[in-house]
Parts: sequence; structure tokens; C-alpha cells
Amino acid sequence: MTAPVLSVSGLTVAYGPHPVLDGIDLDLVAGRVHVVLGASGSGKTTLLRALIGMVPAPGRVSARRLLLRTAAGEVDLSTPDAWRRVRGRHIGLIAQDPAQALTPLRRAASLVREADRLAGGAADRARVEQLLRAAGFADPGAVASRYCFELSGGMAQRLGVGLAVAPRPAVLLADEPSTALDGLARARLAATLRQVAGDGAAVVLVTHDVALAAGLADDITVLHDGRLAEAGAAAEVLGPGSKWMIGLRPAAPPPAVRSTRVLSTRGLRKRYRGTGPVLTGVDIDVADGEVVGIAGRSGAGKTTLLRCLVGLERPDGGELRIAGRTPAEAGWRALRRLVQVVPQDPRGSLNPWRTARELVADPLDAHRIGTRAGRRARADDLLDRVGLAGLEHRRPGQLSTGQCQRVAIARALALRPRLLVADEPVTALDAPLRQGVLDLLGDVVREHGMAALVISHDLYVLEALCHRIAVLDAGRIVEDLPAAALRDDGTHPLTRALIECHPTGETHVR
Amino acid sequence: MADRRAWTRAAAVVARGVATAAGLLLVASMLVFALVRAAPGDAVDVEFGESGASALLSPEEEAAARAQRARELGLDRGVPEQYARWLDRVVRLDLGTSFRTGRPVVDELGDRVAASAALGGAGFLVALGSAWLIASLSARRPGGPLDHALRLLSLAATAVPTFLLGSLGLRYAADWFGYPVAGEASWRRLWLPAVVLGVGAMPVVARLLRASLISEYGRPYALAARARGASPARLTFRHVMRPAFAPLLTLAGLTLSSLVAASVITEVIFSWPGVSEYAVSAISAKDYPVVQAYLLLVVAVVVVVNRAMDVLQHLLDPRVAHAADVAA
Amino acid sequence: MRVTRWGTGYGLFAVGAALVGLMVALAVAAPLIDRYDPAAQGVGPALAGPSVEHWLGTDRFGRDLAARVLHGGRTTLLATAAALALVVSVGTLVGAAVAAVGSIVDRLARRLFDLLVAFPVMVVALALVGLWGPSLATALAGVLIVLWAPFARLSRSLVRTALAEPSAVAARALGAGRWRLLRYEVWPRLRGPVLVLAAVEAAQLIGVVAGLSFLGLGAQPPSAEWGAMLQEGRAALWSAPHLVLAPGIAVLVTVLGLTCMAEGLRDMLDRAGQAVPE
Repeated sequence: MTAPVLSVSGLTVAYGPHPVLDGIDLDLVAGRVHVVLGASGSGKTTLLRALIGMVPAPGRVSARRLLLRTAAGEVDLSTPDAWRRVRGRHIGLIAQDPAQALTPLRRAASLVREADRLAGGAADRARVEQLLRAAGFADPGAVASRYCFELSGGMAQRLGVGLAVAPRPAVLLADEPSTALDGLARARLAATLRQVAGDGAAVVLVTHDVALAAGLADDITVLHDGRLAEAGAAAEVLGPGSKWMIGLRPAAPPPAVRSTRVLSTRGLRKRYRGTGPVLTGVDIDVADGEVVGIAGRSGAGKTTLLRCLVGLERPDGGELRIAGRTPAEAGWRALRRLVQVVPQDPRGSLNPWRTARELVADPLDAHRIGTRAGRRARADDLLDRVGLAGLEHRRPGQLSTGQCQRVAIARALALRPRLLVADEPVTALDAPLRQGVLDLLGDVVREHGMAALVISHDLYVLEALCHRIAVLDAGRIVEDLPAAALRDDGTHPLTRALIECHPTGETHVR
Repeated sequence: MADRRAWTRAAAVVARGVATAAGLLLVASMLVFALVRAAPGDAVDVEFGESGASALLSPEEEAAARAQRARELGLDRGVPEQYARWLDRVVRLDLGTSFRTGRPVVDELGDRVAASAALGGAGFLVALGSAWLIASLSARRPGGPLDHALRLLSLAATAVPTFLLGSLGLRYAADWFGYPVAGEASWRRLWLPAVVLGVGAMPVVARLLRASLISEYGRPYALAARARGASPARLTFRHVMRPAFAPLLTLAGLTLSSLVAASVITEVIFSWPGVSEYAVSAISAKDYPVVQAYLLLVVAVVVVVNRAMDVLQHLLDPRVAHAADVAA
Repeated sequence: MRVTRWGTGYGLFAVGAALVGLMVALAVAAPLIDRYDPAAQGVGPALAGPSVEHWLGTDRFGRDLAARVLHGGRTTLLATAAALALVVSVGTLVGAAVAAVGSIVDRLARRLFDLLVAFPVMVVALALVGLWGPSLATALAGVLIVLWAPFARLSRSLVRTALAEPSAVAARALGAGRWRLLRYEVWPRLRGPVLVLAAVEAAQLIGVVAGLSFLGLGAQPPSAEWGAMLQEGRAALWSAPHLVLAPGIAVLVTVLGLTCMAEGLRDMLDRAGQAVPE
């Protein structure tokens, strides 16, 4: 085996009395992709910052050895000055969210020129054009004079990667694109990293997504609570029987679906002032007891659809019937007792000044159902049901994100609705918590025999919960199939793309 | 081609700024008119003297003369028409003559605008310079000892009243620095009132600039720029500065109104021959046309400068224009 | 890990509240702790400096400055508090109402608020005094005409953002009516920032009114009021600076207290992740 490009041993970082990273050893070899796996809070972000010498202010870094081997010889990276000389030139970084990582008020060409000059290049017009071409811009002239904030997400990612690889660094660090981004951005990044490694760099990818790691890694390091939990070749760490692998849960057994319709829309349309149409004619039916998934990329109109379905937004046209009645006939106040929401952002959607019990009792209070004592008792029952017994008096600030989502689910159940609408119910949660919340959602829906509409960009989530999956694109349903048949029978290009981003047999970190 | 697009966008921004300014000036003029009309006594009373009895005329003759003059001034018409006539005179800069000197008010104030502008401009520079210094020092180590010390300094500067700082400054600067207490407006006399003005306006600017700098330094793009090897100076001047400064321009417009307020006191204390000093002396002499003209002048300047800053912000930070386009 | 604020804010707020509380307590207790009648002339030599008999010295009529500063606080602080209560309540209600109505009313009102906020308070008060004649009431009225606008602007924007918060949207989707939204979603997000602005504007109000009085355009002598005392002192600035210094420092301490309160509250709001007004 060749000598590592960057060798780290005994790396320890502390912000306060307790180390965030404790005695990390890492050897990075040219031409290989090294994936660092870990849940949030495991210290992987700090490791990334330490590997480029940019641990933020109160942090203290110590290491037995921090050694970079360049063509010119070995560089000891124990001083800020040493870091300043290698940063950018020998060690590059691809940031998590490319759109946020470009100076918004600089033009694309200006950033490229700067990066080239810092790496000791000629930084002239021809060179800038060449680098832009290399970054994947077929027409460099069109992008050169644009401000970075004007670039689309895809363009920003290409430019961000281009800037990082332009000086041909020996080590390239990559922060995974945040999970909220759609799967295509992740697929693009994976391809780029493979290529960079192929060109001879040592690549480090930091992520919590085992599926991404399994498809890309040569070597894997697993971080847990700031320590090395496991390290080795990818095949060993993620091999059969590994504790990091768990199979995806099979879809829930179908409960009885009745023939009455709780929700039905025909030709639902919506556009906002100054933008193109968001919904261009949505037809959905949900029968009592049926769980329907809506899949789609960001910008497909998922959130607008949800807002229309629960009366937060008035559709421009088309028909919406809940339990057979339109909002005009029944009034939203009455319909809201039938349709309840589990929102996307569990922490933000809970009023921070109120206790868990008050929050869960809130819908009952708002609709003045039962006595005050009865409402409190019902709230406590519900909290018990979602596994939060004893936490009635906590406020959202004293609950974890997963617990917040459980409060939100309990609150949505308080009115015993006939339809539950869940908007990206687990996106805000760390991978290890997701399965628990998904199980809970599946269970309560089955127990109450209620119908549910689950909106998500994550096909795995929908497959774990739904009988039927509809694919939303450009404001219309383009595919509507039983969940079990989607992978085989889905024909729309977007459906295929979604399936490609979510291959079967892949895994989640538990 | 991109240049062409930038120019048309800039032209649109400027045109919109001018249009808004015109609209706001119109509304502001209504407010001023309402204020002037609501004052006890009308224009006739003012001309004939509030006490009524004029030595040259009998009561009957005076009443007739008053009625005659009221008709001439249009005071017997409806309020909207009176406003229209008043606005017509204001637009033609016909703001009457000073009771004390008999000269047109516009000329009287015009002579003093330069002195006020010099003082205000110098005060603004002092405020901006000291705020920049304080903010950039604070933002280096947020929460550090220097940051805390500078914050206390800012708090003290906010709390000390202009009149106290001004009068004590005048009192002791004369002894210590040989500062000329009286005399013409000159550069030698400018620095002290400018410092007094600047100290008052500095804390707000410093606080915003500090917060803005810290937040920009913490953004992913600043991190990415450092990761590409940008030095601290390059990071500050080529990456962070422009986004950090752009939102402050609106604030600069607001700073103006606090500068104007403080300059009233400062001009009087230092006998600086500016418009505010003139207006204060006019109040004691019940020289109403001067008061009205002064109010109009200040309001117009404030509105125009605020709009100008807004336009400048749009030009400096195209994201604002971008956001406005999307929202519209 | 960004630190945009300095500390928890409690300490600073406590210091500020203590200073303001001290000034209020002194004003309230003035008749109990004064050693001379504030209006009595010739209780000491004219224009004497601070001494054991007269802690802050005497003015040109031989009146005791300490007693006058104590009693002056009563007028100044009471007038300020009353004026402040008026602008806070009117401004906040108008802003909230405008935000609730929305549409064109909201857009026009926003323009008006922006315009009024840009008006220099001092100049409007000055003009009003010029047209009506100098008095404390006129000076206050001039300040009040424009000072409600910052509260209206703040409360308008706070109500709008509060209603767009995910928790407010969720509450609406669950069936909460207008009053529940106001009580649980809007009010907790409104009270802190309004309090900050109230402290800031109270400081400004005291400063402007004192400044006008200093120029002889506010409270008129011989009343024992800080501004009026400043005006009297200004004439003797060269021979007896303590005449300006005594009421001036009373103003300074009050304004400092209010400023510290505002800053401390800002820190607290910032830590709680709430909107922080300027």
C-alpha cells in the first residue's frame, strides 16, 4: 500500500471541558474514497473542520501527528501558518450546500480567477474559461458574468466543486449535501467524487447516509460520540451481518380500506402572484382507512397542495371535497375536525411557550370539546400513546426533535380526525430516529382506522407507510399506482429517476 | 449584453426611487400643511400681528382689511383648494418673507444650508468611521474582552445627552485646546461639534455593523472562501465587506434623522450658523414663515436621502432588487 | 457556533432596571428626603458649588439644587411615562390592526409608518413649539405626533411574521380561531420586542424633551423640572457649570438605565431566538 497523503493520529478537539473528537486516527490514500459515517452529534462536522485547519474560535486542537505529503516534501500541520499555506492549494473543501457556499455578490468568473490565483495559476481570461469548461459549463461566457446568487442549484454545485478541484488538491473533503435536497443532487456529487478520486486525489466524504456510503466508499470510518467506532475497508465495515446494516422494514400490512371517500379533488389549480402555476390540475382520491403517498422533488408543488387541502390556501380552481362536502358548503371550521396535519418542522410548529399537555389539548380547546378536565385527561392519554408519558409539563425547548414530532402526532390525533395529512414527517429527524416515528405513524393510523396522506420526497418513507403512491410533478399527478407495483410498473421519467435514487436493498443507519 | 441588462435594471431602480420619493414628498407635504393649519391663528393673524389692534387702523377698517387679505390668500375656500394653493406656492419656493429681516425665507435658509451640510457631513463621517473601527474590532473575537469593553463604550455614548456633551465640551475645550468659542464657521471650529454629533449617531451604526459582520463571517460562503485559501484580509475586503455593508445603507438614512435631531442642539450650543440654529432663533422671535420653511426643508431632505439610500442599496446589492422582483 | 450577542442579558437588564428604579424611587420619595424647599430662594448663597449643606450646590437665586433635581424628576418622569404609555398602546394597536386587515390598507400604512419613522422627532417637536409657543405640553405633543409610528411599524411586522410562523400555521390548520392565535401565537412574540422599543423610545423621549427645554423651548422656569433647570443653567455655563451638570447627569443616569434595559432585553430575546428590534 502506498504511503498516505494525509496521516492523522490522536486528533482531539474540545470546545469546553469535554472533547468533541477524541483520539481520532485517519490515513488518507491517493485515489481512494474514504467515507466518514456518523449520526448528527457524532463529531463528524468538527472532524471535517479539523482536517482543513478551521476549527471555530473556542475550539482547541491537538494531535500526535498531522502530516501532509506533497510533491515538495512533508508538511507538518501543527501551526496556523502551515495550514494557511496548504489550505485550498493542497486540501480542498466542497461545502454542504453549494448555493450558500458561494460569495453571493461576486461574479462566477471573479471567484474562479481568485481561486486560480491563490493556487498560483495564471488567472487570465483563457485560464478562467478553461476552468469553467472543466467544471462542466459548456458555455463559459454565459455563466462568467453572473452573480453567484443568481446561479441555479445545479450550477452552484458545479461551480463550487470546480473551485475546489481547480488547484488539483491532493486531498478533497466533501460535506454531504443536506438530506433535504433531492436525491439527484446527491447522485451528482457521488459521480463527481468518484471521478476526482480516479484522477488521483484522496477523497473524504462525511455523511450519515449509509446508502450513499455503501455505493461510493473504498474505506469507511464510523464515528460515534467523537470516537472511532469502526474503521476499515468498505466491504468489511458494511459487510453482511454488520451491525450498521438493517434491512428496510416491509410495507405495513394493509388494513381494511372502505369504499367511502374521505378526500377527493378534481382539477385543483393554484398559482401565486408573479410566479408560474404551482398546481396545474391535481386529482386525488383517498378512501377511508387508506394511506396514500405523494412523492415529488422539491418545487413540484407538494407543500402548496397540502396547504390547499387543509384550507390554509384557497385554490384558484377545481373541486375539493372532504367527506363529500366542499369547504363552501360545510365551512373550514367544521372540516378541520375531520382533517388534521402532522407538519414538516416539528420544533417550529409547536408554540415554544406552551407545555406538551397544552399543545396536545389545543385542538380540543379550540373546538371546545368536552370539559377542561376531560381535555387534559385526553391529552395525557395521547402523550402516553406516543411514548411521552411523564413529559406533559415539558415545553418544546426541553424536548428533542423526535419527541417534538411525537407531540405533533399526538396533537393531530386529539380530534380523532378521519384523515391525517403528514408533510415530510421524518425529514427533520436524524436517521436513527426515523424508523421509530414511522412505526408510530403507521401504528396509530391502523389503530384508528383513519385515512392518511403522506407527502415526501423520500420514496423509502412512502413505501414503508402507504398503500398507494402518487407522483407529483410540475403541479400534476403523473403517476398513481399501488405502492407494491410502483417499482415495476412506474413508467414516467420522474418516477424512474426517483426509483434510481432509492435503490432497493439499501439501508439506513439505525 | 450583461452590461446592457445591468444598465436597464439600474435605470428602473432609479426611476422607481424617484417615483416613490415624489409620492412620499406629497404625503409629507400634506402632513406639514395639516400641522401648519392646525396651529393657533391663521396666516392673516400672523401678518396683522396676533394681538389684533393695529395702530394705524380702526377696528372696523382692520376687520375689513383682514377679510380682504383672507380672500386674497384663499382662506375662504375649501381645505383641499387651500392645500393646492399652498402646495403651488411651496413648489415655486414662495415661502414668504422673514418677519425679522424682510428677506425671502428661502434666501435666508439658503445662505445657511452649506454650513449645516458641512457639519452634518463631518458628523456622519465621524460616526461611520468610529462605528467601523469599533465594529470590526468587536467582530474579531465576539464575546471577548475587547468586545465587551467596546460595548460599554457604545452604551455610554448612547446615554450621554447631546446637550451635556456639547456644553461641557465647549466649556472645557476652550480651556484645554484653545478652541475658538465664537466666530465664523471655519474648519478650526468644525471638529468639536462634528465629534459631538458623531458620538450620538455612532452606537446604532456600530451595533448593526458588528452584527452584520459577525453574521457574514459565519456564513458558509465565508467558510468556503477560507477553505480555498483566502487570507483574512482578502476574506474581509473581497468577500464579506459588500454583503455586510449593503443593508446598512438603509440605516444610514435613519442615522440622518438622528444627526439632524442632534444638530439642532449642537448648532445652538456652538453658535454654528446653520439652518437649525436659525430656526431656533426664529422660534423665539415668532417668525412663523421661517419655522414652516425649516420644517419643509428638513422633511424634504430626510425623504430624499432615505430614498437615495434605498436606491443605492438596490444598486450595491442586486439581491434586494432580485427579491423585490420575485415578491412583486 | 456564532455569538452575535454578548451575554445572557440578565445582568445588563438588572443594572438598567436598578438605575431607572433608583431615579423613580428618588422622585417618588423627594418630599421625604429633600432638605430644603425646591422653590425657596436664598436658602444658601447664590451660585455656590457643591458643599456639605448643599450637596449639589445652589443656583443664582440661592435655591438648593439637590432638592430641585429630586423634585424635577417627578415632573419629567411622570410626563415621560404618560406620553410613553400613550404612544406604545396607540402605535401597537394601530400596527396590529393594519396587519390583521392586510391587503392595500396594509401596504399603504407601511409606507406611512416608514415615512413617519424617518421624520426627525426633534425637528417636528421644534416646529410645533414654533407654531404653538414654548411649553412642556407642546414639546411633548410634538414628540407624540411621530413617536407612535415606530411602534406601529414594529407591531405590524411582528404580527405578520408571527402569523406566518410554522406554529401559527399549524394552529390554524388545527382549527384555532382569531383570538386563540392572538393570545398564544402573536402576543408572546410581540411583548418582548415592544418592550425593547419602549425602553429605547423612552430614552429618546427624555433626551429630546430635555434638549428642547435646554434650548428654552420646553418646560419653562421657574418650575423645578430637569429641562427647565438645564435652560437656567445654560446661561451660567461658564461661571457655574454644575448648574447644567446636576440635571444633566440626572438625565444621563435615567437614559443610561433605559438603554441598558433595552440592551439586556435584546440579548435575552436574541437567545430565545426572537425578533430583535433596532
